[in-house]
Amino acid sequence: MSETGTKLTAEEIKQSARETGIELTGEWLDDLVDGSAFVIWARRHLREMSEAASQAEMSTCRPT
Amino acid sequence: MPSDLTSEVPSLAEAARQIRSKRLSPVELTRSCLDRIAALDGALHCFIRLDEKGAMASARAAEQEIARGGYRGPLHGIPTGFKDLFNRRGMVTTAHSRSRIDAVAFADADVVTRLDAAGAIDLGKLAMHELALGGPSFDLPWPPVRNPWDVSRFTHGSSSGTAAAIAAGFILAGPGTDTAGSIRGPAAYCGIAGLKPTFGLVSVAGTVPLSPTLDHAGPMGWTVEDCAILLSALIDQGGSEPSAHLSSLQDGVKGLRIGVVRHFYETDHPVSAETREAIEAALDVYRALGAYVEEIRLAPLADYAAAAGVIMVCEAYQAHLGTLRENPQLFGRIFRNRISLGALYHSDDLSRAYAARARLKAAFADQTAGFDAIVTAVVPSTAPLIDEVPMWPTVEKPSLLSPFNITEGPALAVCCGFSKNGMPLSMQVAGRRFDDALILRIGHAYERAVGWRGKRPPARSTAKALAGNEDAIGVTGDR
Repeated sequence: MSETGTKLTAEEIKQSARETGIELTGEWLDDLVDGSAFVIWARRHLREMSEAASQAEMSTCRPT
Repeated sequence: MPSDLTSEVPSLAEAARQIRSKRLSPVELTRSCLDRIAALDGALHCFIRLDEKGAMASARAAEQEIARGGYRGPLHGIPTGFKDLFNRRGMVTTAHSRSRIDAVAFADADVVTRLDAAGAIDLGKLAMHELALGGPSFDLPWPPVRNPWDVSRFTHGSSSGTAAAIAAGFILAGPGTDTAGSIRGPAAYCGIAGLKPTFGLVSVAGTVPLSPTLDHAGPMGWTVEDCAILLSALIDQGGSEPSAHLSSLQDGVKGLRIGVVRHFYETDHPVSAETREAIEAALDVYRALGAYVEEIRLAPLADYAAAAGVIMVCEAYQAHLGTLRENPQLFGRIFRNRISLGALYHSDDLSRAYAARARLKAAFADQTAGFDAIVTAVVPSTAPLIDEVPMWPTVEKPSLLSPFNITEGPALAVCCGFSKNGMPLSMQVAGRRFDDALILRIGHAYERAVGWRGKRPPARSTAKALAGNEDAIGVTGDR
């Protein structure tokens, strides 16, 4: 799945939904393309938070 | 109907004092609420189901019981209503969704049981955003609730019917639920008080779930004191002593340390100038009352928004996946779309969100050490026009509400003035877990020091809107 754009493509969204048993078409699919901007942002932001937390934790340790 | 409802509608606390001293009849009080509903709810749409007969029967029973010396407490004989997310045995709990049109509850929600035991008068089921997530929606069996301060404006959600009904004087107080701001947002836009208590303090058993690890139930009222009274009933353990939420309410703020989180509303999500000025004026009130006010920094709003947004949608998606697969047409467009984002997240995303929540909770405890409470904005401006509400949350404007669903501590919306166009402004007072009594005390001290509670929504403009749209709106006895 695309991690570089600001939104997912309609095909990516369709495939993800199909994997959970949902068939997306028409307006529903079009709406989710817009909504996927939040998904992309949240995913990136949580990953960055996680990496920052890991680095902070590592900085509290030293090799023995 | 007078142009201003203030002269007719007492606060819960004032009504309780009058009922206890037998200067106010529960029957007359309930009748006056029902008359107001009959006159104005055709324009506001607060009630999905109004039980006039049942309410009057309960009011008469309360009056007789009180006359016999059986006064139960400050909710006895007080008109209330239930967001249609709380189960009432034998009645449908629609959660404002076509998908639950036949969902008859087989037991009362704990919240309903407690308010029944306290002697409150149930006027009926209140409208909300679909399943506590989608709204305002115009494609559901019931129209969205309108703001009593201006019917062209949004109420926020999801406890929209409860907030508007309290502001309009249809009920004196009522419970709401708050997963990502659904008590505090409507309280802010409708100019009332609303407390999201500490997570778990008020039972959500018998409540249609949205996101079980973020769902809270809590009180909404015209005043902070009303919220304290309602909260005490909602968590009453049966003792004879008043709970701490009431006993410390009058203790003031002298010597307390209040942290103001300006970066939330100045840089993370810039709010309107009127909102900023109203909060600064409220901080001046606290200083004048003897509190120490200092700036404090928390994690960026975006951190809370990312964690809360992912957790809420993923949990809601699991809760409604069956209907989404089999009968998605039973959902309104907004709800269907918002939970469908759950299909796009990976398990890694949810794991990271849970981990982020744990870190944010721990950091909040450290960052607020030495402070009694924090003050920040609750919504970015006054209520927008109802047809200008976007479908999707924006990345650039993270929610001011969700941080305290993540930290799990109490967060209170308090009216802190009015805009130039007469719409309510609001601030948020929040604290650490189980500091609910302290947060109510701080909110109450502000409210007592200012005069905002003397102003009610103008009934005349609502009635005028109704007169202009009678055919389109329609008024029935059973909604």
